[in-house]
Amino acid sequence: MENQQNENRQNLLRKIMEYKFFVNDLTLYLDTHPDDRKALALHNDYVQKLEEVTKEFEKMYGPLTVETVMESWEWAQNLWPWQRGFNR
Amino acid sequence: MWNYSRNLQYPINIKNRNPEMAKVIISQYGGPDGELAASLRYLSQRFGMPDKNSKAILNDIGTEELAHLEMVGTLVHQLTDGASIEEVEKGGLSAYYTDHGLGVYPQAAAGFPFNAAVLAVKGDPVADLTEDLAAEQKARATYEKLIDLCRDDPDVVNVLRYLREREVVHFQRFGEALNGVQEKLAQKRFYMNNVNKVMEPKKEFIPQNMTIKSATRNELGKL
Repeated sequence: MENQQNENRQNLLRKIMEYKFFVNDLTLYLDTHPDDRKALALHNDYVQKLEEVTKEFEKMYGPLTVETVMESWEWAQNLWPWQRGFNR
Repeated sequence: MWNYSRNLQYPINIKNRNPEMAKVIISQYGGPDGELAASLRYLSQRFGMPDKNSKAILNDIGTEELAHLEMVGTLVHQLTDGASIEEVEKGGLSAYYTDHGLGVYPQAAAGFPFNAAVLAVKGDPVADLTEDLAAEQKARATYEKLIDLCRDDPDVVNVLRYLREREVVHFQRFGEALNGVQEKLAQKRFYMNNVNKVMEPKKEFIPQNMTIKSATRNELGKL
């Protein structure tokens, strides 16, 4: 059960990193190609996907940013990204 | 301002401790072509950029470099975390350990601490963007040397390859930004004012050592 949970967390986290990467890379491209409508559409598409998967992750595994409503101070309790075990 | 996001830009999970690798990788944390220098260089130069594209690209690449700084620090941390004194000695980390323990300190592989003299802010968009192109190539070359040195650990090499690839992308984007700035600088300018009045050109668009064709120079008035 715990393993399954962990796998689910890793999968969601991986998706978040992927979508964030797409958004970041498209951002840099759009900075120097601001009139590229196709790139803009892709950017917007990935922003939406990122929002969805971020919500899903945060509901189960805690906040990704501090601008999140929390029931207890989970922000300081969970593992940090540089710690061993955060990514598996 | 910046918001912290609780994830690395690319996943890092180092299974085998190796202080020897940490000792060289730390150069991309605080060394001459490292991520701290890169982020400070771009985030400082952005204030002097003349057009929308170059302002945006320096802001956004500077921000990404902060994420890379975190990744390199994570590599160093996970390669040394929990190392015994014997591992420290065997990995050639005794001198570093003396001053910094197993903390992550911004220094070059050769031991000298981070120095802002490794970066420049000229307040001249052509000079600054040209420096940025060179900086990306030097960082790319450094990652290639690190990939050679760390070839035995695929967990480390994967991350270094990712970081190397980003330098290539940044080089491309800076090249486009530089083209845009140069095009803008070379444009003829027409002013709908009294022709007898000498219009001062917008200083920010004219770097001091920029060669401007004589015809354009006349239209611009005295520089």
